[in-house]
Amino acid sequence: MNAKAEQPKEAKPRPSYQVVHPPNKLKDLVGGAARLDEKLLEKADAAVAEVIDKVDLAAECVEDLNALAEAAANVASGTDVVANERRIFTIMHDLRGRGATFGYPLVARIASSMNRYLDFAEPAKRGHNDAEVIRAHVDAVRAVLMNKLKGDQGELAQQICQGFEKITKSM
Amino acid sequence: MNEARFQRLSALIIDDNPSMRELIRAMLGAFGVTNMMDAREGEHAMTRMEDFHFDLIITDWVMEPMDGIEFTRWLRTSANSPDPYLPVIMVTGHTEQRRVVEARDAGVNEFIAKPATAKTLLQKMIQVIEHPRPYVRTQSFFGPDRRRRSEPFKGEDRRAPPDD
Repeated sequence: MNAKAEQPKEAKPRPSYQVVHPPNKLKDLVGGAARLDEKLLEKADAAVAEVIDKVDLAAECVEDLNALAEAAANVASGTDVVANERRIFTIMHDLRGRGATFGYPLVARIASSMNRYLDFAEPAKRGHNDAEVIRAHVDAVRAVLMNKLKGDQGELAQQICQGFEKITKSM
Repeated sequence: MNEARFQRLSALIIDDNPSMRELIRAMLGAFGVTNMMDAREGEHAMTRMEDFHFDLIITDWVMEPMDGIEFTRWLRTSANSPDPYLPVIMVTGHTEQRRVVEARDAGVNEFIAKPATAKTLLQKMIQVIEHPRPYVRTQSFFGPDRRRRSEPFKGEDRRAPPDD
């Protein structure tokens, strides 16, 4: 006889979750099938290009650049290192998104490199001089924005970015 | 589809950067959305929602004092939330997998990595309109189902030919 079959059946546990299908209000408002429409996208791309053309990212970022310089100086002097690195991370994160959006891929790339470095480990445990690495990234972002170096900017700029990435990817 | 499709939608755009808000506004405007309002961060958005009704939220992640994750969690779980089922599309520079998971756990419906394009935004809007996820309530979570719906493959089962 199968011993397993003699055991009393346990009551199935009641589900510990609930699934809700709310009414699709958006679908009702749209009133038909929503699909990708090339004409709409063309119109939107033109509107986006107009906004990007109008935005002066360098002018918008003056306060951010000053805050970065101040935080970098604090890290170099050993003042509230964790809090200042967090500040740098937050500003660089913001600059990465805005750089990529508003025509400054170099800013996006340098900011990504900075945050990869900061995210890697705690201060003084990354195998490099934190203050020097941070200072180099902060200065580079400032140089790109203040000189309005939009786009990829050719071979030299790419080599500079690769230099940063060599450090921040070697950890 | 034309702009008229989206004319009746009202959207709340939450971002601490005015240029990013303007960019999203430009995209939505081109899609035909006419009812749009801005908020600078999560707490400002909460205030907006006391006075206005919205059908769609498009939010940034990193903002102060209340970021997009905290805001979404409030929207999903607070007794004061005006609509816990409101679709939230998050536009962010965070692209790491653990961040996407964190956003999903907070109750975000769709996730767009910056730089946001009009095509991606429209795709995500179509996703929440045409393929809305059901909502799931557990002891520790309430929000859109975090699993992607898996659909069986209906075509002929083919194997790739061996390399020459």
